[in-house]
Amino acid sequence: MTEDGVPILEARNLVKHFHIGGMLSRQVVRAVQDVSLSLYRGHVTALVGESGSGKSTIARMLVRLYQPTEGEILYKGENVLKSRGRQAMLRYRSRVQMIFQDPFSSLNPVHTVEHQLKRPLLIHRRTRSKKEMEERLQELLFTVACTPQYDFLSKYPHQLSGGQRQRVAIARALAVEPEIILADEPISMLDVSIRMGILNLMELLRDEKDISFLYVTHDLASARYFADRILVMYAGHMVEAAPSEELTQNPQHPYTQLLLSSVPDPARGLRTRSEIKAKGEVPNLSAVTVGCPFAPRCPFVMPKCQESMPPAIALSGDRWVRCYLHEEGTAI
Amino acid sequence: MIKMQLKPYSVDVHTPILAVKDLEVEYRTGRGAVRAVDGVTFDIWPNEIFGLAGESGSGKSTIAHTITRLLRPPGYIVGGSIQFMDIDLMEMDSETLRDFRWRHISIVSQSAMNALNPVLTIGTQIIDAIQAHEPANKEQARARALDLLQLVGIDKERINSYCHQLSGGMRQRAVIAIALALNPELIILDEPTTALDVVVQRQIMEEIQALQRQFGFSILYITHDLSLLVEFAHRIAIMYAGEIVEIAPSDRIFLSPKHPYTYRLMNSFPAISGPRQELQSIPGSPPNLISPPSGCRFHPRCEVAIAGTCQKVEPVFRKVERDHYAACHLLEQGRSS
Amino acid sequence: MAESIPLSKTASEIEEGRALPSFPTVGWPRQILRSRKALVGVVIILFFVFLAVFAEVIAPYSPTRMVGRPHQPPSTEHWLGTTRQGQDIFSQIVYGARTSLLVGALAGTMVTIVFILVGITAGYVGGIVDDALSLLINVVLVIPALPLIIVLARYVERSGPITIVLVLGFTSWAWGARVLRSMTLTLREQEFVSAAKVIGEPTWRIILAEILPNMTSLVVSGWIGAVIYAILTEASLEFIGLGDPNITTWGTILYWAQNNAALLTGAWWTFVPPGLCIALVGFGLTMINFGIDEITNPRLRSQ
Repeated sequence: MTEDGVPILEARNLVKHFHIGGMLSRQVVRAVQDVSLSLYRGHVTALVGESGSGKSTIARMLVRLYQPTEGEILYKGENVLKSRGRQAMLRYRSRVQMIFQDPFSSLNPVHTVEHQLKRPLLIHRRTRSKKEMEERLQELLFTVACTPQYDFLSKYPHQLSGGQRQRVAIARALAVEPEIILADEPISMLDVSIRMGILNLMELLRDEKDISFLYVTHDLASARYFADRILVMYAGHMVEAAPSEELTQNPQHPYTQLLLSSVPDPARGLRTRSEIKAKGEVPNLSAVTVGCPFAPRCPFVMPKCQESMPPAIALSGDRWVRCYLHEEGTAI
Repeated sequence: MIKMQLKPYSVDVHTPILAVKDLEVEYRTGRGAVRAVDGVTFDIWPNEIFGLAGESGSGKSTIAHTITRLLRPPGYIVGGSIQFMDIDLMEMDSETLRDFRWRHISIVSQSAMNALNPVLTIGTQIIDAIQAHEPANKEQARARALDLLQLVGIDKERINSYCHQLSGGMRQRAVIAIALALNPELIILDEPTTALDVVVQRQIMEEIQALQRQFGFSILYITHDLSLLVEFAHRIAIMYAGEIVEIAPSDRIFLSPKHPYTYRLMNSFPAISGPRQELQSIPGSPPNLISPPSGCRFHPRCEVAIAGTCQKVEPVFRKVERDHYAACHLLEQGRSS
Repeated sequence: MAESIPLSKTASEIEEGRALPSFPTVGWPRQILRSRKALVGVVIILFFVFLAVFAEVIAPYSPTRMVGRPHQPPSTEHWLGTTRQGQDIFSQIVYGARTSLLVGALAGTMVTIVFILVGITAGYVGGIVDDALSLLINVVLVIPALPLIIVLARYVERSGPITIVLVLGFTSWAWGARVLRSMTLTLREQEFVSAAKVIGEPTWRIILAEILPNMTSLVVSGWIGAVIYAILTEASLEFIGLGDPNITTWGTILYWAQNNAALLTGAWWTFVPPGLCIALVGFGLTMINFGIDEITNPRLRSQ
């Protein structure tokens, strides 16, 4: 399903290199290499990959915790990285927010829930009076189903369960009334039986408030459940993009196929799609590679795969894939 | 009718490898005694992969530590028995226990990757484990270590690697190699792949499965990932709040769960294939184990609880079908849950 | 769908073997009093503070005036005897408590302020600033403290408690700075710091309101350590004559005792009391520090 409008947030050719070692070292970790993506109002986009794929780094660049080494970030067409000054940054922060992976460490242990929810309201001057502030707090906690609210306000994070902490973290992100929320593995550290509740909450926020979500995860199954579109990352490169149902039922890139074959599936006996096995592991990101990073492990590897990185090739149905197997399609 | 691929397993009708009966373990904290394991009974048979599923606070990790007698204060065993092939594990003195551990029961735990000694090569650690239990000399132990590395899929040259030179998946394989070193009859896997990526997880699980078929040891596989257990375990026990609420062969757990908690837990995993469904999480939170709910511990969160009964009376764990046991009042009354 | 606030969290945490948070849990001042060691320490310190505050009321005589026969052992009129100059030692001890404790507290506070500033800045800002500050910390750590203090004190014209406070303040902050820098480095990576940035918190607020409150137990125990060090070092300086001998502190009492050959004459009442007081205060403060340790590292807690 394509959104015909203008993307609300767009990343173009993002690159991120981390310099590691001390001052005298030249070692570089190429965490993200030439990644572009678009987020649309009221749509959920999933960024899927294993650890080290660069997905979290992309999210942190989009929320401006990291400065991209190269590339542009456009909010409603305007290049965000060019603007300077605190006011511009604050304005961006009131539109783009983040939920973190670990509910135990994303809330400061020494501050009450009330304090942590008040801060964004105060910084962005969302309320004009004490009364308004109190109402807003009540409203926020209600939205994330933390009721009775007065029970929660005076609590410290260690007095809450994992699911409750994550809800408070979501409430904090909602306080500024953002248009875009980047959720970095928001459920992977929660108990299994609570995860769906959080995903359903995010879905509700998407429906009611038209919030755009970038759902970063390693779990393809929940990406299929929650997201409209899935983008697959491998070793810093984006290798495939497609609507989530199509990607999970008919993956085109060998790596996506590998991922899907690896997901635990109780109904495995019913699958019609053939399974793919690959040996080896994710490559070292500080080594310079030429060609497709998946080539060393790919069961369909061809000589040209090791010579140059395949371009993004468009497939039917709003999909593209970076793989020479599909060279008959048109390169984007 | 859906056809499931059944995993063949042979049940040796004689003695179970591990017989846990009415086990009770508590942690004594400043706020009271937390009954982490409250009357747990199950058997593991030879050549069987037995899965134990539960969320945090269910008691499953405590069981792993208790069986290997690695439980430390403030944890105390306060009741029940653990028999390993007719040998009482709780009565063992520490000398015998040290010899027994690893030779007959070994454990691969979640933080095992980090439990590898960073200043020793993995080869040394495997050799040490072997020599600690068997009268083998260096060459023999080394030869066996090389065999083990090959078995778990690590290149032989890696015998001289330190663990920081190995990836997460390799480290976990090294730990598995150490666990296999003495050909134990029972290996306990406590969340062995949680910290690993899904591709590596599958590789390792399939390797373990192959090894299990080859050598015939039994596995107690403890994890929160029920979908993984349905794929890899022969039988599964579901734990909730320190008790086992259901035990059944894995395909029965998937196709026909009897306990409401099992049903809800199965439905907390979004499907990767098949129809997309709207899923709900289980309302409420795991109960307070210092003073658990009266009657059935799941009743405050159960949507099909029978008013009155479920709150007051603890359901009895009994046979529902062949090989299928559960504790729920709904089953006793002949209704389906 | 209301969720109840669970007590089962303890069980979950124990279950998963997750370490209890190493940052001090909220409400730790009250928890300190639960530790027996800390309680002992608090009682001792309160006793001396009491003496210091109510010196005028408690001390029977002025500490400096000659009020009795010189060099008398303890008696009913002079509980701790008299000095060579006929001064009442008990009164000296009581008034001395005031100055000694005050110097200790002030020096300790100064040291603490310096190490907070240096430690947090080095840890949070990182980069070249961290490299420079770390170099400074290491240099100051390596310099032998007591000789330096002696040299500095000797240089200053008018020596006295103020000088000592300043000298101590400039030389004894390095260890605390190093500890705080480490802790800041750890805290900086916590997700709540990233969350604060994403919400839009300015850097100064992140340092003061997000990071520093998570280090209060380190700061307090650092302060206590600095106070102990200050009191002992101050006494040492005064004992060797680098203080102002006309101001009554425990250290100067010892100085005069030494000057008057107390050991030779066997006048134990001139040096045992002040020595004992210094030792007791040091002991009491250390006990409080143990109490703080027990809280931040639950494994040390006695069952």
